[in-house]
Amino acid sequence: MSEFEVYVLGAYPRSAQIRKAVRDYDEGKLTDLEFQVVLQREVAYLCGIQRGAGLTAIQDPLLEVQDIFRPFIESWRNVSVDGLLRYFDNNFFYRVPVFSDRPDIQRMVLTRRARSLRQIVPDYRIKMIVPGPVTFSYLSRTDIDKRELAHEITRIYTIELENASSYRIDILQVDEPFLLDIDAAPEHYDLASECLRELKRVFNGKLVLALYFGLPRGECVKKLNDLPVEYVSLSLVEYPERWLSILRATDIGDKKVIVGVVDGRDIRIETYDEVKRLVSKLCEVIGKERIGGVTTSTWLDMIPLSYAISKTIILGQYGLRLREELHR
Amino acid sequence: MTSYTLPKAFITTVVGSYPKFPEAKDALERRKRNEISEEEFRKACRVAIEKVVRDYLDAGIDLISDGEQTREDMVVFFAERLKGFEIGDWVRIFDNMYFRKPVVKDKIEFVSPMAVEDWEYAQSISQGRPVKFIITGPYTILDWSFNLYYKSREDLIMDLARALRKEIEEAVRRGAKFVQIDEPALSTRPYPEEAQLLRDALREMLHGLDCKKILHICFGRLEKIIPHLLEYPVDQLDLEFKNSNFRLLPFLKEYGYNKELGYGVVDVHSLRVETVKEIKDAVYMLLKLDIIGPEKIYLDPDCGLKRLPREIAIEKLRNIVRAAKELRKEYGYE
Repeated sequence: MSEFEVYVLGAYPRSAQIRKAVRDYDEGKLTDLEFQVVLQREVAYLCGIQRGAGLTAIQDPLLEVQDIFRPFIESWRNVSVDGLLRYFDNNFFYRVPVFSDRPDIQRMVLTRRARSLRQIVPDYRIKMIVPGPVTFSYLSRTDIDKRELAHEITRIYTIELENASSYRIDILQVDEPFLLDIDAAPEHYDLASECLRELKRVFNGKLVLALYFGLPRGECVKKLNDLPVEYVSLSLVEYPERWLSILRATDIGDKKVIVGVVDGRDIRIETYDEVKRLVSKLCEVIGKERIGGVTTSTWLDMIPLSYAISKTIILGQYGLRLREELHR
Repeated sequence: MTSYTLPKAFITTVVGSYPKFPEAKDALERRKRNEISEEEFRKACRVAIEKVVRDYLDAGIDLISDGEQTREDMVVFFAERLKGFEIGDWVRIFDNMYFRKPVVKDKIEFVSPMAVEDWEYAQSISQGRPVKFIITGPYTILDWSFNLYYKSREDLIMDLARALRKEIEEAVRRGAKFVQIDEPALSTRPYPEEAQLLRDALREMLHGLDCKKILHICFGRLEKIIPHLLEYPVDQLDLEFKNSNFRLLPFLKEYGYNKELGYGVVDVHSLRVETVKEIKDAVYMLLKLDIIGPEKIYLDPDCGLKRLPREIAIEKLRNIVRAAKELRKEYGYE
């Protein structure tokens, strides 16, 4: 298990070829096979970029994914999509999942993804993402109790993870941006903790909780410590001083922080000194032994592809330098 | 010009955009490929604007728009015409829908009128019905662009406000009586500091102008910043209600809402056409709160209609108009 991670947080943007292929596929101009050929070529290219940049784990570029929830919705029973809603503070919209009943698996998502990624990078560490059960549940519409729904979603993930175990998922990242939302409350943290415990029970790799798009507020701050994960990913890009003061004032136990230092939502290319300054400040607050790695502040699919690639490359370069300097 | 008297209550209106007509789509494509000049582009889009206006008049809308037929995107349109921007590469909005996110690379400055000509043309064929002059606001342009020039967001938004003020001044000089600023991005960060950022920009943009000033914001959790919105130098807030199941209503009561209200009563993200009864029920809900009277209520869709099929958009508008007529009778305004 690598001690200092350097990886991108999430999906890549689509190239012009992929956008056209998705359009053509939707209009019936491409067969499944033809679409997969275009898609896999691009996935392989982006895996190559990550590997070439020296990242410690390869992130599935998630190119065919319309939004974080969709692959799961399309693979489960009793859930469909409705109109568009804004995804947190972004000029990006997701389709609202609508659960008519408890979800059930129709097709495996993680198994398919892990198998496909393993064909491209058989000998490299891979990272998979699931939308956090709390975020999934609270961003959906349903008559089912939201807590119950979060547990149902977790139940499905556990089945998925058991099924995908032969493909060696090295890192499972659980994305819970809702926990940093202005509407998040301490009970949401408790629910997230319950769900994470369930996932830990079946997943033997590195389990990372990813928090982004905001800051914990009020009583929620105290709950950070209770989250039952060894690794938490958070971004110092947008509110560095506020995050640092939260971490200064709050015990987060012995968790390691995989810190977002490269802005996934902006095209300005960070300098090494800027990144190093952020990491140094974090070191002063939590100690260098608790820096678990560096990543991008968010997924990369909200900037153009050329910048996403540039950011991947600098993340690799800076990450490797930081690892050396921190362990000197 | 034929004159038209707006009803005294429950004025029906639109937020702005309308489904793109093929003539406009074709002109946008040809312009993108540099096959036509800006003048030829505007001329080609006039056919589309005529169709928009005809649909609005057929539906019976009182206060209309030009349908934003020349706008590929609400931010890109202005970024292409203001000094200081470059049009960037493709960034996703939803599903497989992408837009070319502008990049601020130099000081923002006004060059020449951008949307005024379309407004003026729509006004000339509207049979006397007033046409709103609608522009994207500085907060949204800032938020939906990348910034590689300004050191602070405050500096950028104020330069945007100064540039956009010149555009509004020109529209008002040519006779625009209703000016609407669209700020959908504000609801993405409903924090006091963000609301204050826009407040300062709006003051810069709108002070001393002789027109009705409207601010449109949609989706998101505006309840967090309603007290700040009430301080804005505008006469009317035009807000989305239907999509969020009228969640905002109690907050209007709580914070003593007293401006005119553009009341979103049909969902632009749904293909289902709301019934007249549904729309009227929505109005009863608002009136029951006893915060503003019928004269201050403008009935409209939650947001622009551009993503709807044209026939659905028209049906939704027709039902708004039918509901407004019945309401006027019920409340003694006809």
